[in-house]
Amino acid sequence: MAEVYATPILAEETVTVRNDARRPAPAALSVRRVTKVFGSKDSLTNALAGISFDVAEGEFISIMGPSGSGKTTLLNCVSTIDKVTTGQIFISGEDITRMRKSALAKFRRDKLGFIFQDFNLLDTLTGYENIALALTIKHVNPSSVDTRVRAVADVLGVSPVLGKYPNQMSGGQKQRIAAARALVADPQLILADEPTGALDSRSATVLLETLEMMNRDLGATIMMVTHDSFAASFSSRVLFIKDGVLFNEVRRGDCTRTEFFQRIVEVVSFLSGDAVPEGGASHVV
Amino acid sequence: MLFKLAWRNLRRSVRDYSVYFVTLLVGVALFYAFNSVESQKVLFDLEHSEWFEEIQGMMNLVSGLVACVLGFLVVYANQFLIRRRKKEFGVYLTLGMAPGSVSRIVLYETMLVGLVSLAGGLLLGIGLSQGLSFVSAAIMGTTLTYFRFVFSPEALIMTVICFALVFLVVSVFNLVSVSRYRLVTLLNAGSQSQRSPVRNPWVCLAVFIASLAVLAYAYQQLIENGLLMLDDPSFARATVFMLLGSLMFFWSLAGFAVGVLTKARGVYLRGLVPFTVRQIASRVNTAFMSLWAVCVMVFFAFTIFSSGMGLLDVLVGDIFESNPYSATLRADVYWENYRDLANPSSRTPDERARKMQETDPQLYAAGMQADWQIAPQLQQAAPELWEQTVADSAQLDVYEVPGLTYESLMDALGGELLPMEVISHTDTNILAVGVTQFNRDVQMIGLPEVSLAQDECIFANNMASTQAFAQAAVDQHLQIDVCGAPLRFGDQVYRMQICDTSMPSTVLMLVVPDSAIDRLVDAGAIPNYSYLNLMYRDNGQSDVQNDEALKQILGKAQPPTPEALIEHGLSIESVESGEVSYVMEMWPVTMVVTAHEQITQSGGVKLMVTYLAIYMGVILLIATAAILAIQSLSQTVDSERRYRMLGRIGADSGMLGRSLFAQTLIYFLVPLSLAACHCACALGVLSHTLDTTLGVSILGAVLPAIELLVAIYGLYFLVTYFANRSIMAQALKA
Repeated sequence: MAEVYATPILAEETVTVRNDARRPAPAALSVRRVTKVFGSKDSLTNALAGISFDVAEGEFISIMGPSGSGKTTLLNCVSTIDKVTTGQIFISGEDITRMRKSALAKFRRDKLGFIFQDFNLLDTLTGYENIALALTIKHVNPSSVDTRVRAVADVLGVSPVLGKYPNQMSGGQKQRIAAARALVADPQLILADEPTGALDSRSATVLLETLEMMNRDLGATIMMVTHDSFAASFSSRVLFIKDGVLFNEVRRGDCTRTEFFQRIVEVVSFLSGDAVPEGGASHVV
Repeated sequence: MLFKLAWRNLRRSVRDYSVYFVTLLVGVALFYAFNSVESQKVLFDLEHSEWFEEIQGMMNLVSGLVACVLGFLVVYANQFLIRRRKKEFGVYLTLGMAPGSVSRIVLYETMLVGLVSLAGGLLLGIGLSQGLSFVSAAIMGTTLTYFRFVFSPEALIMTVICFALVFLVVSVFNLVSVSRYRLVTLLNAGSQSQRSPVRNPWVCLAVFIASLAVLAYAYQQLIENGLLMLDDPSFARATVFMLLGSLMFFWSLAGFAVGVLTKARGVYLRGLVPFTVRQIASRVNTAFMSLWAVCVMVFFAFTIFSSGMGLLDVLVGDIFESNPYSATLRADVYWENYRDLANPSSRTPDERARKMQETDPQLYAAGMQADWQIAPQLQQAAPELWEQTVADSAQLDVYEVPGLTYESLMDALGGELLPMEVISHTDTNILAVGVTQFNRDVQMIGLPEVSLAQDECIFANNMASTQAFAQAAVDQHLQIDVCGAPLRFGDQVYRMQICDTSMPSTVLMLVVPDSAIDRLVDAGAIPNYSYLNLMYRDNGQSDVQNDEALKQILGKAQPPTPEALIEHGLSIESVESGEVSYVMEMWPVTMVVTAHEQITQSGGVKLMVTYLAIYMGVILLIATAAILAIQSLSQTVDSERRYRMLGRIGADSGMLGRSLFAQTLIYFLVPLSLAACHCACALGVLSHTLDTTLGVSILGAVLPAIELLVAIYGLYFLVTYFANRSIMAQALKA
């Protein structure tokens, strides 16, 4: 069990060295010693305190951590909505921390796909139009928009609700429309923020299976932020963060989802256990 | 403390307040400027100044209405501001602030905005009213000999009182709405998304097509029947169908447009087009009633403004041409009833003379003795004054030609029609004057004399709607019979004004050889009426003084003796007050019209109509533009989440800005476009009707109306667009 709780201290340095050299296959996402400080001179909050990790292409990674651990800040920084204080974030080799605001919007629509907790569909548009919007704002040729929207809707099983408005759909259908919107433009990285947060357990399972399928069959790279161990168990790797740093990571490897779930629950209960003494994991073991 | 908070809030949300502020500012400025019209009278001479008082009375009446409209607007705009800040109020209440204190913050804010805009508006209004002085001078056809700053304390007080009342109402509304809010709804205000009705596209298609059909029918009714008779059932039908068709149009427009656009993928699936289209559609669907009201109001404002201004040209346009003589005295020689005067239809030449002998033998005898000449009567009464005042005079005796009716002429001309508005009874006899008398008149006003052969006659005419008829008589060499002698129409229609009146009004006056008149007189005819046209002497006196002298002469000739006053139902006071200086008789003088009076009066009428048209037109346009602006802003506020989400998935601010521009522009243009179609149809018909009856074009007034519309809507559009952008920028930052 000891290896489960090992903190990957050295990863940071080795990766940095490799980054300076020519990398044969750039990671889909590289986060490098990112810090994010909130507040004014008087009261500073280190939301992120020098966090580093990589997400390989075709990976489905979950980020877990207790409230206030910095996972939402991390997601915001990766999704270019927020700016880092120091450090770098590379998405398919491009340093997004150095981009201008106008370039960031273009980057978001070309390279990223988003799934939000509260779906964030436009209630005045039909399902079809909500999905199509991800393509039209990229100025994709109108004639190919239709085929791509229908293809992705078919794969995600939302073809029957394409003509409906969001308020005529169930929560699960809405979130799968949102997933289709995130997927349709063929992004480098799909960012999902608590995607099951507003769903009942059945719809949540369907959605997670959908995400798993997107990753496995369609090769989508997904980074999901969640506090739900069950949701995290659908991914291939789980990163735990606490107080703005990477605390632990668990790989699924060859184990079954149930086994993986058990291991995640162990880490979570450890993380949230109020008996955790100052200084981290090694004391407990 | 609360005051400080209010002040900070205000400064922070200046952009939100912009529409509210602009509306108030313009409203106050107009209100002051048009209520201070009377104070301009110090710049003009006395007879003009009477008009300013009359106009002021009218303006005050209208101002009551305007105050209501502005009050409604201010309340409406204010509701938007309160709605936008629900969440902020929620936070205050959560922090434990007493509801009363929240209300007080709102009250202070209302007061602050009110004071600032009242002060600003008054300054603007005082500036504007100086400009109006020059406008008045231009309209009156005079120039300001000296300029001085005009200021009206009455208008100031009235403006302050009116707007204080408006703000009082606003404050009450605010207090009520703030106290009615529940904390939960206040705090969740941001996350509520309003539902817009989704309509079945097929129903929309059907209703849309039906609305076009209804509008086409209304237009067709209007074009077929014209616009002159407001009580005409077909006019009422056209109006009802226009209103109904417009309502159906706005109800179905969005559904129809979305249905069509979604089919056209090549156009629809580009950039933010789907979002933009849906935004507009949802707005139009929810607010179709307001759009309808705006469309109808713009249509009425525009039609009233341009036809009012156009009619003005009819009323006063040719005022100098219509008053070529210094004065015209008219004697209605004898008439039994009004129809007899307006539409004489005697069957024999001596019919009227015999009746007059029966009913008023004394006057008949006096008239016959004087040969119905007017000038000698006046000259005798006040020889010196007459000599000093009058340089030249010419009498025109107008006789009806028994048996020669308009109808018979129409028949003879093969159905050439006369407008019924001009000649209401076709059995009316044609009126004729002798060529010698006629030539005396044209000579006096410097026109070429007419020479007629013994068997020749011509029409004198200067009314546009009867010109074609007169020309037809010339073209067809029409032959007529005057008292047994055949006359043939010569080859001209003589254009001249036979008396001073407010508009060109010589209608098919037959000019015949003197021998023809002699035959009528020999057969026992007396004139139907006579004009004595005067030219004043160049005696160094002003027109006003000469007019006064003429009244004195009349006072001598027809003195307001107690018996005469009783006979004409006048009071002795009216003589003492100077209102009445002579009494009117059948003969020698029934009526006096002087050129100077006519010109002054026309200036006054022009001023009144112009100011009313501008005042009402501008207020209506402001009201409609402000409603559109506020609705557009409300939607942007309600769509904050949508913009945030679009920003997240990568729509850059340029794309969003363009979408917002398109949304705002199209929302402003939708009601204007339909109103423009209505206006084009109505004004086309109106212009045609007026053109054929009165010979004037109202199209000249359309251009200033369009300029006014573009200026006001342009201003509101820009203010709205920039306020929308700042709301969106805030949403993207959050």
